[in-house]
Amino acid sequence: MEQTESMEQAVERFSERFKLMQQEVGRFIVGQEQIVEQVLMAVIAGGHVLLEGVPGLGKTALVHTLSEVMALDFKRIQFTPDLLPADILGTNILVDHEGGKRFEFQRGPIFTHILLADEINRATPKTQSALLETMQEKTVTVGGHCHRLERPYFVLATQNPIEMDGTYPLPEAQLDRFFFKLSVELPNHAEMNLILDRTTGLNRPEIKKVISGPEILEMERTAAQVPVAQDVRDYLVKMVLATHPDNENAPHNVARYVRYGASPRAAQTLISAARIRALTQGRYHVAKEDVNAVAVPGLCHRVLLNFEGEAEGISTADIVRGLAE
Amino acid sequence: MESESRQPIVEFTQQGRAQLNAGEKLRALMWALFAFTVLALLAELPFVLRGHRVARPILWLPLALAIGVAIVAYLRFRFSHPRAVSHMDRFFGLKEGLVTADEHIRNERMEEIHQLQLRHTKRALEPHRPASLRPAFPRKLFLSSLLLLMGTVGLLWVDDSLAVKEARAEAASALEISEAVEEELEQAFEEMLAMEQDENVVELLEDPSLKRLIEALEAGNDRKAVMRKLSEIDRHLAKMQSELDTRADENYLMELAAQLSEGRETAALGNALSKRDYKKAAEELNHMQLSDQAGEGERKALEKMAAQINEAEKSMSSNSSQSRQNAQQMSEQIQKMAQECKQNGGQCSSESRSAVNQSMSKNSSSMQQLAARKQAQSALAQLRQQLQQGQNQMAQKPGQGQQPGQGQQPGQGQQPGQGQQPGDQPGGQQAGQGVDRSRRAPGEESASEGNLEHLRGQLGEGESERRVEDASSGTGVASSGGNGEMSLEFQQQMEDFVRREDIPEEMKHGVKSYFERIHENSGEWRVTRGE
Repeated sequence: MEQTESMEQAVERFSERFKLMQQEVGRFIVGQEQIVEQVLMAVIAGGHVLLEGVPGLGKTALVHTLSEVMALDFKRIQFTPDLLPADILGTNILVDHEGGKRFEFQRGPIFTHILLADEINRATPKTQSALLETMQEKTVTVGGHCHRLERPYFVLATQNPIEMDGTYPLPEAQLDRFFFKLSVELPNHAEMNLILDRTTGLNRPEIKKVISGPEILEMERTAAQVPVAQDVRDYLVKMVLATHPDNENAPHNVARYVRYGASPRAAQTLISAARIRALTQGRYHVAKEDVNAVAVPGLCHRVLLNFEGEAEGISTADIVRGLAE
Repeated sequence: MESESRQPIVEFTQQGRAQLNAGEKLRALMWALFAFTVLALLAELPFVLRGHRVARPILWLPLALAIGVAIVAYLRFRFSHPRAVSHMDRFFGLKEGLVTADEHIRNERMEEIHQLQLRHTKRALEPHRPASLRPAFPRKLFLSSLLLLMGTVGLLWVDDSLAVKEARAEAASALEISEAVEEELEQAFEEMLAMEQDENVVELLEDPSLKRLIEALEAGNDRKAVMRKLSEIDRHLAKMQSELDTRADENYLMELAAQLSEGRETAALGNALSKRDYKKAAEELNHMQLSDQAGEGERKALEKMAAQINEAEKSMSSNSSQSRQNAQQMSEQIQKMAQECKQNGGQCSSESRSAVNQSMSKNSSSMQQLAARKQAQSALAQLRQQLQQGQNQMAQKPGQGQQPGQGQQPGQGQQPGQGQQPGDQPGGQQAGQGVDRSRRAPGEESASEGNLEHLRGQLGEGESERRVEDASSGTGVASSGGNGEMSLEFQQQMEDFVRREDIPEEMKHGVKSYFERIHENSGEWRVTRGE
């Protein structure tokens, strides 16, 4: 009985903390409620988020605000074409030690809890690839020595979708490592007014730290216990497999426009995100609507269009929406 | 705590499933009713469209199929437990809560989060009742089925059409008549064979193929088929009759009889021949045979008979009958014997006597055969008469008058010699009044062409001088020259017509009767070749 109540309390705490984080972020970030919710879901799930949007929409501001809400270490890397992997990961340097010299590992900015990889597509693929190990294994291997990153750890990257000069598209392997890819949209008229009020005056809202690292990890554990019925699991798997053009359940537009579908990692992403969403909705089980709600940010960057799809300007988000329906 | 949450959920899902399956049963029943009415209508329509009354047992098949449809539909669409739970989840908007809870219960997952989820689901179910799962009554389907059912029942009461009733009555009548005809014909055939005492006649009549034909005649409700068989038997009988034709022999013997009647020694033979009593004639001829003790007088009598035969030959028209050949042969033998006797001074050798006797025996036997053939022909004529009666009965449809061209019943016809004017009643409903030829004895038919009357007149004075003259009299189609060819052509055309398979038997019968009757006096329109 006590155990059940403690679980119930954990779920209640989860909801409260989630709402608190939303409220706190919302004190500075105007609108973008869905983006905020999805970023928080990715953070709780221990995933990384790629924020895509034209300059000036508040992507970096959102990540900054998020780091302020969480009592966690935050670092920002401005990705540039001349950035090197060692600039991110760190390097072994020769230092004096007890009268002698020795190599000592100098940690790079990647050793943090929250990493903002600003304009990630401006770095070369070599540099981008430096993030592969950290994003998946949450470790850094330099000079034959593996350094484990502290948890929670998540990368929040931004990229500009319209500026192509001097940019390097992210490789598929790296895209797949992002839990969600979120498109930040232009705010509406009222939101724009509010943004002006909050950002151009003297009274900027003060953001409080409302959650710690261990609390985030506890939320992750709580969410991982949410049961998923076989029916829902089947639904999710069917949806992920249907993104492959050669699958028997693939709809016409997938068969015609898609080159590669989503990986099993996508299914893991969806189930984790759906669990968190279920808890935020006050449920103790995952519903199909939870899967549908996280399908677009979880799958659209993992579905690769073929030449015809690119030429026709097909949106992967539309394809995924079609599957969810 | 655990069972507090579990039990209500289990009960809810069970009740809900029962409710859903009850709805499926109702739906299956409605579909079965619909299927039955549609199938029943499809089964009934062919009957109704053809004017028949619907055979009610035919509805068992749609009923069985409809029951099959109901069972298959229910088995196919009934709710399994997972499907029922999924349906209830959607119906009550539980967002997979019931599905998840049911899975926990079935898999006995009882961890903290599962219990929490069960409690949550139980709370979510509290405002709902399984009874609300009752599916809507398929009103449109029911109404459609009801309308179709009314149509189905209505069609059951539609009676046979007038045409069908008439056809059925006609078939029954045909069957009845054909049964009677078959029985009568078989009986007549058996009686014909039984009545004949003469072995020679029985031998002539016992034709296995005729017997087979008569035995193969079966009663049936197809009037045309029966008439076709009757016609086949008739053709066979006509063929048999033609094979037994005695007219040439009789004509010769009649002429010979006139000659022989004049002689004192051969008067008895001549009288017997003139009376067409060929048996007696044969006996007379046998009596005239020369025995070993035969005297001059007996021999002279034979010589005189030979002379009379020769005399008759002189005045005789062309005739190639067997009787004539035998008579000539006998005459030659007698003359040969007489010559031999004359050369031997009145003494005849036994060889020549024996040759004469053999020749006479042959003549005698020929006459007996002739008598038998005549008798057999008469019997066949009677059988044909019976057959024709049967054909007439079969041709007579119930509620209708005589068929075109159908002759009168035997016994109502004109007597031979009362020729009918041709063209008196051509075509139409009554194609002339004829006689039943089958009733006429073969000897009464003339071998000559045209409508001839056989007139017997007396020339000269005294019995010895009496002669029979043939004269052309009567009315009707001229019987000479080109008309004969034309008649032959008509006859061939008619015969070709009645042989055709595509012509209904009734029409054939009518045409045949018509031609026979308008030419009954000519004696030439007797269909002899296959009729």
